[in-house]
Amino acid sequence: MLPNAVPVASLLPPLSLAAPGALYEQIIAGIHAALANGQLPPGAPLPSVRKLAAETCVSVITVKRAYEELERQGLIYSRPGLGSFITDAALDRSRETHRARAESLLAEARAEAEQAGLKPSEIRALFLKHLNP
Amino acid sequence: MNTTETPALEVRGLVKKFRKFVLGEVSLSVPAGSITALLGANGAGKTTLLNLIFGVGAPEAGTIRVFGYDHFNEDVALKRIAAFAGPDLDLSGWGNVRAALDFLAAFRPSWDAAYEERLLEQFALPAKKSIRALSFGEQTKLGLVAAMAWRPRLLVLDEPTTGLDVRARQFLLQELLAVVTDPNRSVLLSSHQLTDVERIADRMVLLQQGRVLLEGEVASLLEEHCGVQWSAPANALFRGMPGVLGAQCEGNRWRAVIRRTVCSAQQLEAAGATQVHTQPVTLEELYLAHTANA
Repeated sequence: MLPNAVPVASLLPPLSLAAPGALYEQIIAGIHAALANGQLPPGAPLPSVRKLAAETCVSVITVKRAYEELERQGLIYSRPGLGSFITDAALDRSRETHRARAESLLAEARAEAEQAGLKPSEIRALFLKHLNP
Repeated sequence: MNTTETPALEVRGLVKKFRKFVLGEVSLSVPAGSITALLGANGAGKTTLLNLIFGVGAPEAGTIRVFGYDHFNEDVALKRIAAFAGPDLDLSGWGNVRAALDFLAAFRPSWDAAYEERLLEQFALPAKKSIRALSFGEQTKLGLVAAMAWRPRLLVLDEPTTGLDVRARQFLLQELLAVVTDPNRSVLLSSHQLTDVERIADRMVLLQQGRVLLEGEVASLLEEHCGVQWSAPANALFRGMPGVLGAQCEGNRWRAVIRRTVCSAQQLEAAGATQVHTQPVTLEELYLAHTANA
């Protein structure tokens, strides 16, 4: 007997066309956040694609895309006939994804600061200000 | 989506001629377990196409199959698994809502009375209300209950959200997604509500003047296109460029949707565009761009 699927729909933020990012990206971000909060432990079963689509009121294709991308990122794996599950390494994989994103955002922030004419010392001071608010 | 399965609907080489309008030649497919949206302006042929599936009017050429059943030779079998709801449904001879539904239920062994109750309740449609007294939106709801309560394998809905209040519309969208939690059931709906379509439809078929202009997965089509703005003289020749759709110019600022498989920001720059900005498109922008060009 498999454990009941985690009520993923209730862990996700409301999916909206008005929110930033495509709907499938909002699902991916929501799963990442639930992982970080410890709401999705390793091995936890996810609802089927069709069930989550019905629960979140988005198309089947949208959820399928989100699951495929999460599988590519190493956060979930699927077993034919059984469904999808959180991988043991999901938290690490999620952190790697966030680390890469943080790095690119920092690079972007630096480019923005340079465009504003800030000197390296001023940029450093700005970063430090955000590290020690 | 498993394409090896029998499609829920397969239309091949369909042609229907009227004195002033020709539908076709149209070919399209609705996979099992999916929601497909039929889009197009008034008069594009959406209702004609949907009617033909259910044997209203005889086509000049082509075939229509629903889960393998031919719409002409196997129309009884087809009507046992496919339901239609559209604005033309007239049940006014049946007294009140309950009487009409009881009458229809008698023909459908799979009619689910409990589900009928739930639909009536969620649509806030009173069972004892006289059909003559129903508003336009309530008539739409009655048609939807009649089509949905027996859980047909293919649900064909002609503009199902027109006239529905916000709560009823939201409920309907959720129910349609609940229908396709069964991978053997499908929904084909025509709609002008492009934000609804963008949210719940897996695939779309865009009709224009009786022909298929664009067909595919909604998400893929949105990704294949992007909105672009750029600066260039108003007399520049962007309008004819391959992959540039619905180009408009005000002053020297241009706006268009580009098909990324055919055109790119770099190509626009090579053609003299400066200050090129791109952004994702909504389905509405995609629709307007495609229908503006043809």
